[in-house]
Formats: sequence, C-alpha cells, structure tokens
Amino acid sequence: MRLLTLTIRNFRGFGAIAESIRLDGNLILFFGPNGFGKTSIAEAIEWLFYGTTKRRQRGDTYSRSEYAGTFANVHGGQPVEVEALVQFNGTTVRLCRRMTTDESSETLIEGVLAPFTALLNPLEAVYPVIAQHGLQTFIHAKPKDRRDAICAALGLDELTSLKSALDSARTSFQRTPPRVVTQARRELMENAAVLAQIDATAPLAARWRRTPPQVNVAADTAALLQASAVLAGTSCSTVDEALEALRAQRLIASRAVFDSSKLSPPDDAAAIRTALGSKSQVVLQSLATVERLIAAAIAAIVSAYPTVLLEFWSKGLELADDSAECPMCDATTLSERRKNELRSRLAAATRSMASHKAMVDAIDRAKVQLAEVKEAIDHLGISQLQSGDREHLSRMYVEQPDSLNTLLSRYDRFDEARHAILAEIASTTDFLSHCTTRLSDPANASTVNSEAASAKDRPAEPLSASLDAYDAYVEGWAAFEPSLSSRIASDKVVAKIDAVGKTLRKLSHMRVLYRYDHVLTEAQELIRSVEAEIQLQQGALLTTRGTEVKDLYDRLNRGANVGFDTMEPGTDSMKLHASSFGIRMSAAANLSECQLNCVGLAMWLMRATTPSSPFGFVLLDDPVQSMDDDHTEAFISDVVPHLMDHHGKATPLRLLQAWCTRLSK
Amino acid sequence: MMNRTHLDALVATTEQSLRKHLLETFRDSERDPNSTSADSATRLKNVMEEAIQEEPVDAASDPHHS
Repeated sequence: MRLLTLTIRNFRGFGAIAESIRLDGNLILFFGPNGFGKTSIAEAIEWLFYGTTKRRQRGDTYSRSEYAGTFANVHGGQPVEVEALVQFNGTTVRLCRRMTTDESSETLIEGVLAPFTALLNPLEAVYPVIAQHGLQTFIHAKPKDRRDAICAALGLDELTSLKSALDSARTSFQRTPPRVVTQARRELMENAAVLAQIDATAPLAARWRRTPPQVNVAADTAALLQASAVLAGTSCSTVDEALEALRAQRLIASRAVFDSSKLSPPDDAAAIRTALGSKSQVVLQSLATVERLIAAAIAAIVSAYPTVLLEFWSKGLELADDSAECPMCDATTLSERRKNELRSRLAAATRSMASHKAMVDAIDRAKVQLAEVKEAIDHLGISQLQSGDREHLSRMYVEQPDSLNTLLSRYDRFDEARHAILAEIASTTDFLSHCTTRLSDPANASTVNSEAASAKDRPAEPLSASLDAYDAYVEGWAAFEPSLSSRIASDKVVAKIDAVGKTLRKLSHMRVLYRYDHVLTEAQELIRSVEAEIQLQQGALLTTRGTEVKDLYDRLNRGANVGFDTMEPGTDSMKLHASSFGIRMSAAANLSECQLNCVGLAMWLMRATTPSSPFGFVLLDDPVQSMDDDHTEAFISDVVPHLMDHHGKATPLRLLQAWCTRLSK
Repeated sequence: MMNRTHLDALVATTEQSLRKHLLETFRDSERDPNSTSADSATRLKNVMEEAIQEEPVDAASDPHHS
C-alpha cells in the first residue's frame, strides 16, 4: 500500500477547512513549532486505520472521563473524518473513517460502508506509527505486558491472547464454580462429619473437607462400599446392593430406637381417605334406600294374600277364559267385574314380590358397602400403639412432652372414633342381615320399619367424626414426624447408616467434583503448553528479529561500551538485558533515558518494518525530541538511510514517510 | 502481521479432546470480527462448564455401580 494523500476534517487540531495533504514521496518531512498539528496528523493516520490512538488508549487507562470526546476538534465541526487516497497494487482507492455517536466510527471504501479488512489487516503486530511519547512504554512496562508487546511484534499475539483468555476463563471457573459444583460440594459436606467417624470413610472425609474438596470417585466409592458392608454386616459389591443392605439395616436400627410405623399413616393414606369419604356418602344413601324399600315391602306384605290363593285365582281365570262359569262350582259367578277384581289382586301380588326383591337387593348392596367402609377404616392403620410404646415415647420426649401429648391426644380421639364407627357398622350390618327373616312374620313389620329408619341415620355422625379425627391426626403427624425422625436419625448407628447411604445416592455429585477437578487440571496443562509454545516461538523468532533490534540500537549508539544487549523470553515475562563492558545487567534499571529511548525506537522500528506488513510506510512522530545531539545525529545519519536502503528498496516497504522536526535540519 | 499458523498448528497437534475443544473455541472466537477478548474468555469458561457434564475418558467405567 502507498499513501498518496490525506484529508483531515474536524479531527484533533484540524478544523472544518480540509486541505488534502500530499504524501506521495519516499521521504516526507513535516516541521514546525509545537502545537502546529504535527502530532494531529500522526494521530489522524492512527485513527484512520485503527479507530483509536495509542495516546488515547493510554489516557483511557488513567481517566476515561478526562480523555472522552478528544478525537473531535474542540470547535465542534462536523463531520469528524479522516480520508486517505491510497494505492493498492497499482489501483487507487479512497479510504475514510467517519465518527458516529459516542466516538464510535464507521469505515468507508470508495464512499461505501465497508470494513478495511477487505483490503488490509491493520494489526498491532505491524503498527506503523512510532510516537516519541510511546518510546518507553515497552521498556517501563510490567514483564508480562512487555512480553505481550514483543509477541505482538513477532506475530505471536494470537498465542498470547489465547493464554490470557485461558488464564482468565480458568481463574473465573475456579473462583466462581458452576452451581452444580457448589451444590455437590455442599451436599457431600453435609455427611462428611459422620463419615469421618467411620474407619473406612475417615480418609475420604478428610480429603473432602479440604479446600477445595478432593474427590476420587473410584477410591471413594470403594470406601463407601466397605463402610456399607461393615454397617450392614453383609458384603456389598455394588452400590445398589449396598443401598439395599443399608435400607434393611436402617429399619432394624431405627426400630431399635422407635418403630415409627406404629404412628405413621400408611403411604397411601390420602387415597384411602378420599375413597373413604366417597364410600361413606354412598353407604348413607344406600341405607336411606334400604329404609324406603323396607317400608314399601312392609306395605305390600300387609295387603298380601296367601300364595296358594293367588295361584288358585290365576288358574281359575285361565280355565274360565271367556266364560262366566266358575271352574270350581260350575256356577255362573265369574262375572266380568268379578274377573277384574281377581286380576287386580294378582297384579298387586306381582308388585309386592318385586318390591320385596328390590328390598333384598338393596340390603345386600348396603351390607357390601358397609364392609368396604370397614375395610377402608382398617386400612387407615395407626392402631398398634401399645402402652410400652407410649412409655418409650414419653422417655424420648421427656424434655418436650407437649408435641408428643398433642399427637397422642389426636391419636386417642381417632382411635375412639374409629371404634365407634366400627361398632355402628357391625350393628347396622347385623340388623340388615336379619331384616328379611324378621319380615317373614308380619308382626315384626312395625319394629323393623322403625329400626330401618334409625339405621339410616345412625352411622352418619360416627362416620363424620372418625373422618374428622383422622384428618386431625394426619395433620398432627405431619408436624410431629420430623422431630421423631430427627431423634431416630441422631442415633449414632442410624446416623452412620444414613450418612453412607445418602452419600452413595450422591455418586453423581462425586463425579461432578471429579470432573470439575479434571477440567481445571486440563485447562492448567493447556495453559502450560501454550506458554511453552510461546517461549519456543519467541526464542526462534528473536534469533532473527531480535538481531534487527540490536542492529538498530547499535546504529544509534556507535562505539558505546554500555548499552542494550539482548531480549530474553521467560514465563509471562520478557527480560531486557544490557551490557556494561561485557557484564550483563538489567537494561530498564541501568540504561540512561536516552539509551532506553533508543531501545524503544529500535523495537518499534523492527515492528513497523515487519516484512509482511500491509502498510507501505513508517510514521515517526518526533522520535528524537528526547534524545541528545549525538543520538539525534546518529538517527539522522545512520538509521534513516539504513531504513531507506534496506526497507525502502528491498522490501514491500518502498516508502518511508517520516515526520521529524530535527530531521529537517 | 499476526501469524495464524502458530495457533492453527497448536490446534492440529493437540489430541486431548477437552484441550482441542478449548483451542478450537478460542480460535473461532478470536477470528470472529464481532467477538471481543472478554467474549473469548467467556466462551472458554462455557466449554469448561459443559465439560463437567461429560464423562472423562478415565472415569467412564465405574465398576462399583451395577
């Protein structure tokens, strides 16, 4: 690329009147007093290609607010833009960068929005602008920053960026572990104290309680299986076997403390309770039906004729057919009115039999339903508490008897209600079982009728009372159970079984922590290998590019016995060595400011003249301002001609463009 | 000019799956013009977090679990 012209509008020291600056020459010099815009030209070129400047980047690290808004000219003209006419492989192209909001900017190629990367890649490794204020930024930098700067100059910045990104990611990953890791740590730690009391798992617990916890899935699982075998008294070769054995042993151990199944509602208590409520409603409806059908059957019995007489009338009507002659006495007594009367009696008898059958069916149905209600009540359980159990519980809750007494009073209330409803069911079932037999004697009809009416209503209240008492007990148990479980679990044997069992059920947590350590280790190994690669490549590149720096430095310091010697790469560092009459010493700490400026200038010149740079120029913004006369003379008489000779002709850098006040003299 | 062959060579010669995944993720992020340095670090951390869910080769078989 060859710079042909530059046009600056409203940028830094330049205002709205934009005149094109011709740059098409092998050596361009700008000279003038301070404050006349030489540096603004340099910064305009930096901004054009990089969207920022070194001065601004450095300033932002000091005070972002102080440096904000300083790209635009203070008089506020618009647009703020820098435009350059450049030549690429014989083709002339117009490049432009224009400021948008918040000091962002957009780039245009031939007036069309487009990234410059379509034509060239303006990377740090080939930064073409060397400013006098930045000569020592590389010297007086932290070793790592110095190393990164050298790497960028050598084209290794992708590797250094990789190492920085890996470092940052791994540090964040370690300092702020994912939630799954913190959860696994927390839950495993809950049992570590008890595991520490078991011989087989004590070493495991010690490792887990370190910071960070150290988990070895295979070894820790084996230790837990061994502990399971000891606690359960049986061999456990798999986790499932161990959990099964621990479950059985836990039941035995916890019952030795207290068998809570004597108080606990069954697992399906809620379903049974719901079904019982429904069945209760159904049976009460059935008893009402029974009472109604018994009344109907009794009414039919009262007006009934003997069966033999009904059969006689039925046969007589069949034999007489249309005749009025009685088959019994041959008299013409079977008038049509008489026949209708007999037919009415036969129809009433048929209805009575149907009513009786309906009553019997309803009684059978009600008996079945009562049996189902009884069965459901039996299934509610919680009826096995013996006096010895009460004494045991009292001893366990001697310090907090209130919660136990509350539960036991609810237990007793339910037990009483349960007995009452079971007695009522037995009584009602007995009544229903004998009802039909008793009705065969019409003399019992009235008594049976009144008993049926009573039986219809009697179960309702005890049923309701037992359900209410049960609900109250279940509620009380829910409140009481945690404290009972806690007392059982606090038993040493139970606690050990629980700790081993719970931990075995959390093998996935152990695997998570193992994998977390594994990832951290792998990331660390990768960081080390990247660092090794950086140092390897640095060493190789410095054997060639480093000599360029040394050569440029020597041109500025002909015949000196004290001066810069060499660069030595290290882990995250780059040491700069100087030499004093053949004795090695630190360059940054021992060389003069002027010598250090020479090192910085040589370093940045090496970077700017990288053979593969897409830029066809090097821009020097007053590099000799802080040098003494001897160094200035050396720069003018030796370095510039050297660059012109070697890079101006033999390399793609055909043009050296320099802004240098003293050089003009 | 940045020499991309160094990173490409490192990716090509790395065999361990997690390390290779990290290198490839960084390379894709670094060469994405819309990605920042912070984005690259975040993406690497995401790869590390995802790796926790995967079974490492040397712990894949657990003889103690039936």
